[in-house]
Amino acid sequence: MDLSEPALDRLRLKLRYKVLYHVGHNCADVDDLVQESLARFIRAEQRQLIRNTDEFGAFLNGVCRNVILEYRRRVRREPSIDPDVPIPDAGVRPEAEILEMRDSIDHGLNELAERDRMILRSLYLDGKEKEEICLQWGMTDAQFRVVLFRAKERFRRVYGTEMKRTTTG
Amino acid sequence: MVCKKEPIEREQVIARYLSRSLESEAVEEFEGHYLGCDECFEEMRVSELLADDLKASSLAWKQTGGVSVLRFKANAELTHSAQELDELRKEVLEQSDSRVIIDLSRVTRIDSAGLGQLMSCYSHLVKNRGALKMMNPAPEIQKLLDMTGLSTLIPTFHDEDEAVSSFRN
Repeated sequence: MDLSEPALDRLRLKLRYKVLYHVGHNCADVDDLVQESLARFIRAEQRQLIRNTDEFGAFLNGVCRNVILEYRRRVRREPSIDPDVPIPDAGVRPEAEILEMRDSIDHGLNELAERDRMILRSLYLDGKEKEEICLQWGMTDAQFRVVLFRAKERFRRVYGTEMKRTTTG
Repeated sequence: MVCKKEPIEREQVIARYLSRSLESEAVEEFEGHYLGCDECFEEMRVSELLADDLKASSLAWKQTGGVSVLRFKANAELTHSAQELDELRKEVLEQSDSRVIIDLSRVTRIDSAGLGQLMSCYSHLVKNRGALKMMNPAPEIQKLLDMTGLSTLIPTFHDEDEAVSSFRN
């Protein structure tokens, strides 16, 4: 398994995303939880406890889930750690890098037609199924695909450029 | 596995994960997958940027000489099903500002719902001892405002300073 520094950086980024998703961005211990998950994962790998290394994501997910559960129990047991602030359940907020990316996007969607924007809102914000959206707007699967991937392409370019910029410092 | 799904199906999983409407078992499965899959993680981050941009307000406010100037950040339609109409309602009717100028320069289309909303904004502000003015409508929008008599009720200006100073008179 690739445990080189760049590979570990990628895992750290993904773990951070998962941890934030579950404990919220106000939690001060996010980095500790990420580091603990990664340390346990590396130890398990060195002891050859990961049976299927091709599917290591599921294993790492289990490790991280346990770390989060232990943390929640610890906080409940020891309220003195942070008596006034419960573990927030809020969604993932944009991290600094996302905010930077948003600056450079300069509202890419503003160039989209109003209809396309509403279709995308139905999918991402209103949680509607593709079939429902296509029916509502009288679209075929192919037309829906074009709207979706044309919009994603704009953001994919920005994401790629920004990640390159971040990694090269 | 998520990335073996048809691209739109995968996108639906991502959209539901981001909007937190995915069942807990599916969340586990998806997280276990993206921790080991760079491609799906990147797709999710790109979709997150897109969803984040969709959430961003299409309106901008600024205060000039005690007057709130509201403008659309991109081309906008004040029509029955447009998001901008809903935002306009929220921004004007749910705010405490009573002296408001709406910059119509980026409004490309307006229908009866849009005209009705401008009327509601006007009534609300007058009731609160304030006033509503409009600024820089495109010729076809100006024509519509004239035809419906709205421009006789809500004064229209072509210069911001002139519009702001009209509140002092």
